[in-house]
Amino acid sequence: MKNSTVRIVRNILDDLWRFLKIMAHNKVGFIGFLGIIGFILLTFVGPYFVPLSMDTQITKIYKPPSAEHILGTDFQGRDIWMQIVHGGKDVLIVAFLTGVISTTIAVTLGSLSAVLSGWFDWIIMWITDIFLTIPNFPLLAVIAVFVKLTNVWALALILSLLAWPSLTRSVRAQVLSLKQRDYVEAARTLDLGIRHIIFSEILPNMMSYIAISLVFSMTSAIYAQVALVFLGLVPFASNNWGVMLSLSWARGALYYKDSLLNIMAPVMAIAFFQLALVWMTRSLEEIFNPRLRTSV
Amino acid sequence: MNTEPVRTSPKEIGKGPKETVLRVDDLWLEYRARRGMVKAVRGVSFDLRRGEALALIGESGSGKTTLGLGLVRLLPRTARVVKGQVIYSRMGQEYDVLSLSKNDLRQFRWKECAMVFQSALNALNPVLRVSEQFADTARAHNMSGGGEAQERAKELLRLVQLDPDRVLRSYPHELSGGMRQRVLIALGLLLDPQIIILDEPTTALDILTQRAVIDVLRSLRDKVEFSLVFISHDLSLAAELADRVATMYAGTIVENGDVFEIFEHPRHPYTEGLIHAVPTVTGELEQLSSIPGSPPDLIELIPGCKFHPRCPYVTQRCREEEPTLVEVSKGHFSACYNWTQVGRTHGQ
Amino acid sequence: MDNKPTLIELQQIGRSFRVGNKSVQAVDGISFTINDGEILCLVGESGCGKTTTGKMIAGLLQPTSGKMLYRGQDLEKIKQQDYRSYRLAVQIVHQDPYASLNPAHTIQDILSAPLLRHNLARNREAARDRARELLQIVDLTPPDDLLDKFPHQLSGGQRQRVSVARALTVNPSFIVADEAVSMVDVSIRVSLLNMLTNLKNTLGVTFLFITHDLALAKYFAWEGRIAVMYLGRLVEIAPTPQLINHSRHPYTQALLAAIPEADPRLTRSKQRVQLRSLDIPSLLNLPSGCTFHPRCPRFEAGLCDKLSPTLVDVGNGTQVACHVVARETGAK
Repeated sequence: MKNSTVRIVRNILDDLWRFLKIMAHNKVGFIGFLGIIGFILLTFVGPYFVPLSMDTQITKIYKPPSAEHILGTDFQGRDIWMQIVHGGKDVLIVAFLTGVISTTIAVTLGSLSAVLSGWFDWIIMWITDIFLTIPNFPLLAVIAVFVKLTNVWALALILSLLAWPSLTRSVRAQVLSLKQRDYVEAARTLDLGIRHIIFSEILPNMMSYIAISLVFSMTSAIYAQVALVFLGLVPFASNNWGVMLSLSWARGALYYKDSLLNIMAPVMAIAFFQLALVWMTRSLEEIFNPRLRTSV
Repeated sequence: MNTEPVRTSPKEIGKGPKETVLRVDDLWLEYRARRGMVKAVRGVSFDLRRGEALALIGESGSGKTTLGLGLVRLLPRTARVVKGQVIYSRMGQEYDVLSLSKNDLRQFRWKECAMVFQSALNALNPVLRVSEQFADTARAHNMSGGGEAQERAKELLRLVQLDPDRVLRSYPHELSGGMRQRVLIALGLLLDPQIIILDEPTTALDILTQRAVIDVLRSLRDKVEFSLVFISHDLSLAAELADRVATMYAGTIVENGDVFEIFEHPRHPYTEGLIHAVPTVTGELEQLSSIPGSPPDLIELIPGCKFHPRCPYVTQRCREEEPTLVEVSKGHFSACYNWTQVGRTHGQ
Repeated sequence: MDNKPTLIELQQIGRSFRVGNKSVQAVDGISFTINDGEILCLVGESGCGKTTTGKMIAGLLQPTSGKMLYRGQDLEKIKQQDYRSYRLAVQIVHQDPYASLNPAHTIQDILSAPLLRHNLARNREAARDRARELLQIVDLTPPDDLLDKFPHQLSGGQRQRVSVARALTVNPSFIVADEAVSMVDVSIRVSLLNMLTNLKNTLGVTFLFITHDLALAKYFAWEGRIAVMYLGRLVEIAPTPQLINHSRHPYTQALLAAIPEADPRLTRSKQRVQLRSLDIPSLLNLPSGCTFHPRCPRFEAGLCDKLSPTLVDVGNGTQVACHVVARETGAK
């Protein structure tokens, strides 16, 4: 009994080690991967080490970086680094949820649409066409007026609703091209069934594509989210990078040398997170390539 | 039936040896791949004489394509020359392509030696008419792109049996595969090179088109003097066009000789195996046999003769030492310790 | 010819595709039969419709005209259950060894999937045993070395053998081999063909062998028949020795004469057929009458460019679609 748990643990460690080795194969991708881990630690573990205190401290307004305040202080004398640490959680969660939800919808509908074709395909394409012709952001702004977007789930659902149509179309195009492959034809003559064809023949060969789509829908979710907050369409219920950006902008932080860090800190946090995501896709491409999996 | 006899013999041999126009001397090339260094060309040496047609025959993993690129120094960036020389000579002047400057190299490429690649579609610029492709090539080599070049283009296109007025006005996509291949051959001849190198010139062409390209090459050789090196996996092409055949295996030439000698009295087990693996279409059913085993691995080379795991004549020595080319009869070289045995089992 | 029952019969099968707003007739009214245990080679140049024909027979494409019979039953009217058994009975082996196996699966997975799906193996263990047997049948020994490998770790020839083994998982009675050895090194082609011949002899598998290479067709189908296609139509069908040595259709003769041979004396002394034109007509704009007439050396104005010839029996088991040949032999 004990022996088998040891073996399971060892297998998991082996797999993890192999995973890291493949990730490390592409240097840029690995840096991105480390960056993402860093951001996750920063926003989920960081708050336990950096206590939150949002009280105004008039004596400390716009202090330059120092040992006490590594990124200086904002227009109310509050620590910027503390706000960065506490302000990422919602952004990351919404981005992740939106990415997963919209990619799941897109992969399911896109691959069914391509494999089944016929009337199903026609209806799905008709719906996506409608969605694609509506300008996304204004629609989002209108929805935000009617729905209270205080909850991360609600926000993620709404963002997914807007993200799935274009993703579905690109998944469908991918599946349509994979469907022509000889091995898919062979699976058809062997009568292996639609489920097998989608899940065993087609999807494994577009995992890197799906992973990259997921990453890109995450990055656009971040933009949409921050933009909504910035425009004040989502209530400033909590601390987040968008709120920081919006408030510092409103205080004209862009125009003073002393306050530049106040506005640049959230911008950089968003930018670095995006960059890490995009870089990580390079390694994802390799992870799903069986050639690499076996040659390492 | 409307048939017409064709020339039955190759260019007569015996006009006395002509001067060498290309000499490859102990050439070693390798390139980087994921698994390690691919030793694609390992100590290749051969001579090409004026007006001669040499076929380099090999299968996948023989290094023939890398060798072809090396001859005109068009190697990809991952490749490097380990050692060796590729010497072209013209009017008694010799120079090594591998040590030419960038500028001289460009001049050399079309004037001394033209290469016609396998994918004829990709080798032509899709947005330029054929006439412009000729003009561009001419201008790049200090010849006027106008009248003179166009006249020469017309003449060459007629030589490759194309209608110049129609073809010159066309874009590449408007031509069929065989026509494009012939346009490339004509383009290659524009600057009157001494040598033309053809990489798989008939692969991917239909049979009747293939025949047209072969006939064009053959009639060209009667009308214009140039040497020809063609790289192919296709034995029948060598049988059709070559004066001399060199078979390549695992990056090196294992046999080299006159085309009739090679086909009728092969002295290397690999050549022999290839000949017995290819069916002919004329006549009754013949006995054929494959060469057992798999193509060689050019990254992790085995010791001894690289063909020994697949060879029916293998002896202990073959497993330990790699044989080099020895002259087995006049002008016929084989890299096999047991060449006297070769030919016994199949009994021609 | 022989008394074997007919396995598949094509009656005026045609297939058209839409290209832009034009319709292209890729296959035009083809009829032939394939008997149980026979080898039939479908030969022609690119674009002649041979692959489309193969895909229709394998059930991957629906014909747009004509009728196809499987063991005497019309496939249009067949019951769902019988259609499934037909689908499994006919398997296909593709040309490209690098595209025909899913790169994401091991050889074991590739072979197990159909075995498990159709209850041909009770569990994964049994499937592995059967996979091992199948690899032995296609001469991949020792099989245990290969089962856990991915396709990219195999050579081209080995992959083609795995493709054949995969087709054999469902015990087919008929295999459509579409240029199955064309992309494999010449030195090992023959052993692949011999392996396929063995399947015919030991398992009684019937073959439709599609190729552009008449020499390969001759070697593989010496005891069978060869059918020659040109621009979507069947121009000649005959027993192999007959077609190779006494071909009747001018197109077949031109092909045979044009093929370079791997023998310098033979190839340099071959009699050529001079064609009237080297241009291959486009399927979008086919010539009138006999589609070969603009190139045909035996062209007769007023006949060949007006009337489309049909296949007629000219003796010796040969059928030819040519006005001139038909008149000479007095065939009706």
